[in-house]
Amino acid sequence: MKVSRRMAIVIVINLIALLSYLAVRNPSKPSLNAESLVKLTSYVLPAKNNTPIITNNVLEYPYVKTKPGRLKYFITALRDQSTDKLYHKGGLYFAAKRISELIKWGDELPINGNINDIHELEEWWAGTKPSWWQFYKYGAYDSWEATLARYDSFIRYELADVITNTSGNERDKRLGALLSNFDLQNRTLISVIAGLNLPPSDKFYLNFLRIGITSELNREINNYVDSGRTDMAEIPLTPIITAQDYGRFDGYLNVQSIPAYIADSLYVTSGKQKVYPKKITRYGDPLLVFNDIAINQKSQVLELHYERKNFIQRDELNPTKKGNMVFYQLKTEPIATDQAELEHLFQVSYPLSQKAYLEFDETNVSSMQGTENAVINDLLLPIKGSTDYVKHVHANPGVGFTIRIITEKPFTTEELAKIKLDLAPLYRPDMKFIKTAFLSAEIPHIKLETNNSHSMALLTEHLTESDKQYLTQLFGFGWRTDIAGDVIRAEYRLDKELLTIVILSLILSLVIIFASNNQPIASLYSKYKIIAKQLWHLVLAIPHKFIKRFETIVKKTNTVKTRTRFIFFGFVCVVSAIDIFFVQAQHENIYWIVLALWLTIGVFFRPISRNILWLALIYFAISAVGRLFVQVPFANKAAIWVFTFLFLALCFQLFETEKPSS
Amino acid sequence: MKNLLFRILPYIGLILFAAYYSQNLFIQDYITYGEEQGFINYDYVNYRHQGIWDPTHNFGSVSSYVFNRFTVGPIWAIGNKLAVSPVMIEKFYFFIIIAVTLIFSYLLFKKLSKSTHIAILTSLLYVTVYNYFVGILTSPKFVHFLILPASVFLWKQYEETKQARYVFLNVLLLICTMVISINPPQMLGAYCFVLIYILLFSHKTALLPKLTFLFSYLSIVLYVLISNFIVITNNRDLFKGDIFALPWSATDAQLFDIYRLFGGWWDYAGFRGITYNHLVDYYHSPFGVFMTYLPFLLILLALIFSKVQINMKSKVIGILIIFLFLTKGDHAPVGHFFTLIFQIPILRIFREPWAKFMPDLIFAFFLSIVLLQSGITGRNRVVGYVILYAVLCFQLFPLINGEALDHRIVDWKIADVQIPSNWLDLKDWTIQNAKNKRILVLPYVPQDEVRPIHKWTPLHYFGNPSEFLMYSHVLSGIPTDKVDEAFMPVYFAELNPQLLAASSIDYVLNMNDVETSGIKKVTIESVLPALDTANKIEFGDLDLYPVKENYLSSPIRSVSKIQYTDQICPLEDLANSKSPSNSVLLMNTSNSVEANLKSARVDYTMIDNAEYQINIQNEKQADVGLLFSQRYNSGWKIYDSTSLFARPILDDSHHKVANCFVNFWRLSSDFLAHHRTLYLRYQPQQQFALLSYLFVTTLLVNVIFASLYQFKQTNQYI
Repeated sequence: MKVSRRMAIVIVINLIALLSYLAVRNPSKPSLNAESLVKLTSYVLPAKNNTPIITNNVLEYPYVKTKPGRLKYFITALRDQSTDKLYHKGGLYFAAKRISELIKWGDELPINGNINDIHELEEWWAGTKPSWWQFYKYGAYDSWEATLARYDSFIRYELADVITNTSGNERDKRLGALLSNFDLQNRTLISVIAGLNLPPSDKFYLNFLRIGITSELNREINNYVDSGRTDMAEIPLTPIITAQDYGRFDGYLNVQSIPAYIADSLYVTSGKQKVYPKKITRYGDPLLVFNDIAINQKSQVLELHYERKNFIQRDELNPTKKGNMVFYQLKTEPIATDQAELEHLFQVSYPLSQKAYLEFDETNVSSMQGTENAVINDLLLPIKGSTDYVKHVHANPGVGFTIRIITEKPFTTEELAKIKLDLAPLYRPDMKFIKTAFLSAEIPHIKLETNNSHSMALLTEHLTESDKQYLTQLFGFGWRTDIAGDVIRAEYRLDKELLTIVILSLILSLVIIFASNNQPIASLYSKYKIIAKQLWHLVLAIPHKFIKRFETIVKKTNTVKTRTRFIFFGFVCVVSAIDIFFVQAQHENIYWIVLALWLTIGVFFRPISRNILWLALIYFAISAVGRLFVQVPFANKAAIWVFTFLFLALCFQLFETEKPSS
Repeated sequence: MKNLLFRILPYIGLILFAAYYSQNLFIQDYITYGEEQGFINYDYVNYRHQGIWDPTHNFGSVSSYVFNRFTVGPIWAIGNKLAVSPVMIEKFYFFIIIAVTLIFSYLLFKKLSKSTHIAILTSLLYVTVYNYFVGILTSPKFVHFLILPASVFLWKQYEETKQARYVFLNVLLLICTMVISINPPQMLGAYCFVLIYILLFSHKTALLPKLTFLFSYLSIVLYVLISNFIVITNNRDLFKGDIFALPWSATDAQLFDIYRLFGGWWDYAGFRGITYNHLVDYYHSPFGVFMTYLPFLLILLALIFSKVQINMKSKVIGILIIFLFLTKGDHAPVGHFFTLIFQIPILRIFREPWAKFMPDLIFAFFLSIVLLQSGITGRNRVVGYVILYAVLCFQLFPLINGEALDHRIVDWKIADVQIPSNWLDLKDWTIQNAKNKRILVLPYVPQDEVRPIHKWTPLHYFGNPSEFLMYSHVLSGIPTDKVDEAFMPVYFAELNPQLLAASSIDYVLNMNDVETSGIKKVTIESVLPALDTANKIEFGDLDLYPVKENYLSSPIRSVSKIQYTDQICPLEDLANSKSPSNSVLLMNTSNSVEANLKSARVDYTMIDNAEYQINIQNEKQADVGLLFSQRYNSGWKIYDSTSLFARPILDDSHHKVANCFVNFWRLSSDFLAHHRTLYLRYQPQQQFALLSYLFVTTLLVNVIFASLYQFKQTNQYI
């Protein structure tokens, strides 16, 4: 029997389908074992260490000229939330801008009065906020709620930016700036709302929104700000909680370089549990081990308590009079060598209304005998009201401090007692946690609920999300898994699907065999082909005619063609030159626009690739010169244009090769 | 005769050049060790990377280093057989790679340009570029430069003649250069050049020969990706979660530096600007900048003035912009497009696209010069020659000066060392006497401290000394993966004679040539009571102590005392236990009762790294606890035969994690009554072996098909 080529293909396809069905008919079963999920985990967690330095560096409210709610304001709003602007000016600037708008147009802006709490405000704004193309919704910005919601989002942006992108001193500074600005803006808002020409119920509503925003933000900011307590450090357990790696942990602290009185007094508390350490030595270092710290879902921070010592002895505070001023001066003991690695915190509490200045000098006692050597003269802000001032002190061992309070008239004894001066070591260590056991209620457990060869349901207990993910990965090819809470369902349908394909392919094969031997069906097919072709031509006819007409015009007027080529060549030269020499920022869209424009032009005017290659050569030379003189941005842009021109040259060459046939 | 001489002469010249080159990479007779440890390792690769289970390092781990056996492995094996010194083997390795690359690029360029002159110039330039480029001697990068001209040449030949021997040669070439798959993105980078070349330059050729030629690439890619998948799925602690998550990425390389063909581009490629090119000053002097821009200038000039067909010009520009696009990453002008593509998870394995595609671009540059030059005539052609000669002179200068490799960087990547004779003696001794024995290497330095430095000459050695203890299982604490990182510090912190006994150690090596003053460390003192100091073997600064007989324990043994614990890794308990080699700690929080089993006699023979034959004589007819002292991995299973298609006979629920990290099975007396001889096998190795057979079969089918195709082609003309 002669087998035609078509028949052979049909047979081979069917055989492949059948064989693959036979190959995957029986699924491979994964080995599911809760014990393989057990592993040793360890974390090194730093204590919170961001006592903000309160600065006087408060932003001025920027000038605003477009009222929210106008059409033009839509563009302002878009510009304000562009990432580029946010990156360069920071969220605080745009938050201040919103306050400026409220100061200027507070009376004119309408109040919707439909919001019940802060979360609702955020949700409402997320739903109302126009996208970049919804310019017709420009009116959405025209309300107190919208402005407040946007203020809230800018402050949040700033906070997130500070937390994720900065560290160390920079972070302290920016957190400080954020706190002080936020505080000031809050006070401005209070006075703005108080001065509004509105009924008390509306004022109450606005104040209610303001309090919602500030309390929520304050709470969030406080998550990242150290309490500044000198008898306790807080260690956030966030990494363990996020990994859902709950269990009993051993905490390790290296106490080699801290004073003995701190090391001896250390203990930790987490919730109700209180753990005292055990002393051990590892690799020659003295370590403290806090055994069996239970960490569960509810644990937020671990509090590390230690004995505090105030270096300032108050009975030394004696007045001396110089001219009109009264000086209260005291000297601290020099910092001991064993505290060399500790930071110290200087805190002042001054609950008096009398104006006074405070001077804080570092004196190197050991280097000079008897004589004082002022190294830093740090003049703090004039003390007003009951504000507390906090200052971080980084000092070398052997250095003491001189503190002076300068006032116009002497304090009474009661007043003097109210002033609190405090200089104490700030112990903020990194603590290492090693998981030693699971919590008794959190032992991971897997139970096979249904178990036939093609579907499985696993009932899991106390598994982390990543463990569940891992379990689903254990199922091999063809298994479909689904995690629903604590239940993992896996189903194997590949065999059935393949069986369907096998059956379908068999039916299809029969149809093909039948059709290929039957004349009428084949002639019907060719008829159908003709009809389809005609329909297709009908759809294409209109644009096709248009293009043809355009082409004939272009071909007839040869001068127009050359002229257009010339104009566009000049256009690209000018655009690229402006981009290289006058534009600082990089806009990728320019290259796309030039490419698209030239390609459309290229369809009709057939530019010559050689010209564009010359341009590439010139820009390459410009780039090389830029590189020689270390003008990096300049060389870079020229180089990018070389790439663009190469791309264009390629396209033009394709048109050129096409030419003879057309 | 004269004709023949003229035909051979270029080859002799190129081979002499390769010899000069490989000779000049070395300062005196010192070995240069590199990033991916393909060079210092005598028979290291051949023995340790037999399969995907490597038992020789820190209680064993699963890895894809098996591909290291290709290219590097055979040369070391032959060298060892001929008793050639390591330095000579290494020189020979360099020589082979450079010579083969030179000859293939010469053949290809000559074929394309029909000019011996231009072929010699461009092939020499191509090779000198990469020597500075792969300043960090890594096998994959070296081999990448070899694959490109060789594959394209073989394709050109096959396209013209349709002779099956070129397909066969190509398959052979790909297998020999499979060390590139240690770095899968590098492999994909190399293979994609061949694919793009064929699509661009041979789009008129029929589909069937193309498929025949490309089939071997596809099967290698599949083979490597599937075997990597096997390794990844069996290495859960390493790849938990998204396996394509980027630890870091440098996708932005600036175009103006990429146009500079030679070493200079490296410094600004990648957004942080990596500055480990020791020829920075050379390439960043104004003269250097000028010279490095010349080749691309030559290409642009040739595109304008060459009289080759416009079709050819389009193809040249096409291949240039495709690889410029891939190399530059998300840099303008079409950076958004790249970022869009980069969203596809698997493409994120290209952490630094510039490192993976730069060899392709360099080759595309020289290919362009060669393809365009035939259309250049008269004075322009002379200008081209002048530029090429000038650039070649500029390129050869560091080589003549002996600066082609930087031999001074100790702390990173490369350095010159002369291996001390006592280490070589130790190596010989361990090959003779300590095959498959476990050696503990001390002093151990915890990871947060600096790694120990060996005071060797002329520079200190930062590498891993366990490379010398080739046939032994080494416990050095230098981590191979994250499990080691977590576990080894705990192990060494608790190290004492009891723990030593529990972990089946046969010898303890004390290295006195290590600089560790002022560094925290675990020294030999912690295990001294367990050591047989009287029989100490000395190799210069190195002391090798055998462990006392009562502290020895077999790596596969029965244990009778089971302690249940709710702690995850209570090594302290094991360290304080009275008979550590006979007791075992099981993590099982649901059962806190201590259970006792009866001990039985266990004999075992090691078949290979992933297979053991075990005989258990269960005379007391009780349950037996079987302990296998290698790292716990759920892939270890119990079989009753060594057949490739055998299935495990014991359920996974009997397999437990014991002593924090090793394997343990509780075998019931019933089970033992039916199975006297058991086989302990690593199941993924079985899958890998199956995959390898399948791979070899497909390659064979490919070659057979090519032969049939050739037969059909030749018969057409008869």
